[in-house]
Amino acid sequence: MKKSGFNKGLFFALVIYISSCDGFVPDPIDPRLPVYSESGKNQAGALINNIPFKDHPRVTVFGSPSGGFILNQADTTLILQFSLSEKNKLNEIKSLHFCLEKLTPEDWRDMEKDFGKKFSFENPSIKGKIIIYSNDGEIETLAESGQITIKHIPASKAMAGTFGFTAEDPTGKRYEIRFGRFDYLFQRF
Amino acid sequence: MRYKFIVVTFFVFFMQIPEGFAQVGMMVGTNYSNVRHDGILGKTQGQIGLHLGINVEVVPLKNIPNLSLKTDLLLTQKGYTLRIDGARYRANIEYGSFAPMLKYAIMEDFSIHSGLEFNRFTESNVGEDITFRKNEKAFFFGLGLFNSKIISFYTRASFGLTPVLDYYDIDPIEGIQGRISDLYTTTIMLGIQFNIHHEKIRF
Repeated sequence: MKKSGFNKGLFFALVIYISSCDGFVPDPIDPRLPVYSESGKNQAGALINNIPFKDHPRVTVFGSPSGGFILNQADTTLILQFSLSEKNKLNEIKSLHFCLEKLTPEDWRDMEKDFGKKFSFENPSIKGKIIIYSNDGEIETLAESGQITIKHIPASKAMAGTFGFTAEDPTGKRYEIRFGRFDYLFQRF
Repeated sequence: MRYKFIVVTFFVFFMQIPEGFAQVGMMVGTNYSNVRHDGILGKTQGQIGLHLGINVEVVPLKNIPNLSLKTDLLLTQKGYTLRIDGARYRANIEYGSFAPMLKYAIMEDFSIHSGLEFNRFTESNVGEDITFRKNEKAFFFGLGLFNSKIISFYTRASFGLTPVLDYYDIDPIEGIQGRISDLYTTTIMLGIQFNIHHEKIRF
């Protein structure tokens, strides 16, 4: 008699479930957001129009895919992008993208000091934007005002920081990104 | 280091007292805990937790049999509950606690006690290890019933003297502004004690 594959499937599903781990560590002041950390936890979070959005590691047997990345180009440009989702709506993703150009060696040194270096979006070399995905494509809205603070921690191969900004898309819809924080593994090329 | 010194000093002191005057007990009970703060959390609610441990009680002076020195070694849960947008978020902070105290029996079955808790942070479901301070000190006072019986009851109010949170002051737009040390625990304990070695009542 041929054995049903159902039990085997159930077994593997159980193994995957047990070995999966939700790595979300809440902030002690606003538990809807991940705790601010500087250890390369591969997490980010922010209140977007007062709704919490986050990206945090969900470790599974297939690895721990991250919704964010940080990379540098020739030490003068730094690009950060975080894909954040709302709780229980994992498919509704909003991305926050930051591009810092014309970085100097002094900027890199300052990023390793104290709480890091603050970059204002009033500087034309510093750009931040929110990307909304829909069936019609991507809508990118540039930050009007605000800042991103970046701390580089070479010892733990991490880059962490905070951000906050306001933006308005062409239809007049306003976005307020508040209490933003990120902490990702980063290795300078 | 100072924390270890206090613990060792107390145990050396207790070892000097004749065993015949010692009472050893096991205790278990419930905590109602909340935090006092400078407004960083908005409105918090108390939450229920547990504690359990052992204690040793000695009468150091034969001519004052109603006065005793007692030390609790406890595992205790403190914390707070936040309400944000109608949802509840529970923050547990767990400690190993060393609590020396003075106890005075006003009547045979009624006593009062007061002392200091030296709490060592063990675990929390929020924040990181570095988010909470490793040590907390708290002042407490309380009362006990039926101390001379095998089973006795106690209640205690504890007030944190040192902040438990060491975190970042994060502005909504401008990001980190500095560091903050805040959140002082307030805990009410209610429990039952089983006196497993009961030599003190020989007086």
